[in-house]
Amino acid sequence: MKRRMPAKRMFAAEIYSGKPVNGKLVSAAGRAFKRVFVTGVLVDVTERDGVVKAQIFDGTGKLTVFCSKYQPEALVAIKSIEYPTYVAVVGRVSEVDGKIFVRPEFVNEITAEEHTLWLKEAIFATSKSLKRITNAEQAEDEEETDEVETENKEDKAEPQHTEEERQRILEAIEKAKARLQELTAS
Amino acid sequence: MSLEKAVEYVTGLVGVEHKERVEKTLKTLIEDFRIPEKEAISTVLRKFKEEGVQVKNPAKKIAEIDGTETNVTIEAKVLNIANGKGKAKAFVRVADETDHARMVLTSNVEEELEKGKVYRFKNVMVNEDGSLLMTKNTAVKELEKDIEVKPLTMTGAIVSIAKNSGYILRCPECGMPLKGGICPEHNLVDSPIERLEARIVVDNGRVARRFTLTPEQIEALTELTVEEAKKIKNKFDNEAVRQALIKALLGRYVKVEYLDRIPQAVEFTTELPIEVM
Repeated sequence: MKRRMPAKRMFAAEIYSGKPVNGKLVSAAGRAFKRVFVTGVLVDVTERDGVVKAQIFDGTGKLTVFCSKYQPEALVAIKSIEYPTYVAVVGRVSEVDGKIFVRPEFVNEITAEEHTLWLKEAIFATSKSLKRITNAEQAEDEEETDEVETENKEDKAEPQHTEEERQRILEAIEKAKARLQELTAS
Repeated sequence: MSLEKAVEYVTGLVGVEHKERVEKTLKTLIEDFRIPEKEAISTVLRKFKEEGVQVKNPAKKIAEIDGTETNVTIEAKVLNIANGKGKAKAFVRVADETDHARMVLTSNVEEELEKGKVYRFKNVMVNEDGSLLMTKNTAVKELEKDIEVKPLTMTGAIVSIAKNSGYILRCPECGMPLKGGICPEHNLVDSPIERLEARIVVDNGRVARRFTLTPEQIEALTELTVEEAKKIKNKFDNEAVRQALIKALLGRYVKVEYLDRIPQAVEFTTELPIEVM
């Protein structure tokens, strides 16, 4: 029985760093993702040719989600929400011609408190992934790599991600931590 | 585990009168010969047993199993049995009032365990990771009593509300949902059972679990009742009620206590089981 894909907590920088590897999208923090759970402030909604574009500021950066007639529930929900307000988005991520698109399955209004809970989770999950990938790379550098093994390892596709992308994710974590402090202090 | 604790533990099982000998033997094994505590303890216990000393074998609570013991006795209910291959004949999930544990049955085990029954497992081996191993040396005794098993807990966000959630009419005879007002088996129904139902997915980023909420749980979380739902719902479908459920639940964090995929308690939570910063 196939398991449902868990919705990864990700900041915009990581989502947009996604590159296709063997049919999956992998981020610069080494996470494979297809379904994401994001919260933030809905700041803008525009419509053109039946496609609704919404901008969400997740505390670290801007995420753009697109709803077409294929996401009817989310489309209606987004159009009816008065912004600016905090929202939660459960969305599917796909890559088309090098561009990342997020299409929501659900959108709903939430409170600032719920957004801070999400910040905590996202900081934790993102930090953990970054740590895992940097540890893995350090371990590799220290060992002698077996030539044969390297060819078989498909996730040697790491070279696809730039140091800059990873840096942006690190910065996002810092921004999120700062924001978390701000929001919990008030 | 320190030498002191080891001595305390063994003395507790063989009797205070043997304390001196226990202490001396354990000290020699652990300090002089650097034998790991776990091994030393089981060696000493075995020696006493061979000599005919009554060694207590108290049943432990699963939550108390901390890896210092090589084998334990527990009283637990069998929750689930999955068949294995080769040396691992079966994978069983057992639980008592304090915790759950995974237990592997080796191929030479003859007893048949039944799901839902409570047993006293005497002499189950404990692995390093806390899982249990039942061998042919394990004595199994079915118990008459029932145990109230501790539920599992999950904290996560509600990321989906299934399409068949909302205000549902069911046939009072067979319980099947009505289609177009008609039960597939019993046709026209006078007084259908009206219920608010919600099938949700709770997701913590690592795993996504489906739960079916009871009408009571729905009312507690959303303040929606069947009467309210009837006002909202339009003639043909349930979508309006479902949207109301989505508005109340989606993206919000809940803590679910559940057993066998059935939620026993669901509440909104502001605490996450993770440490940040």
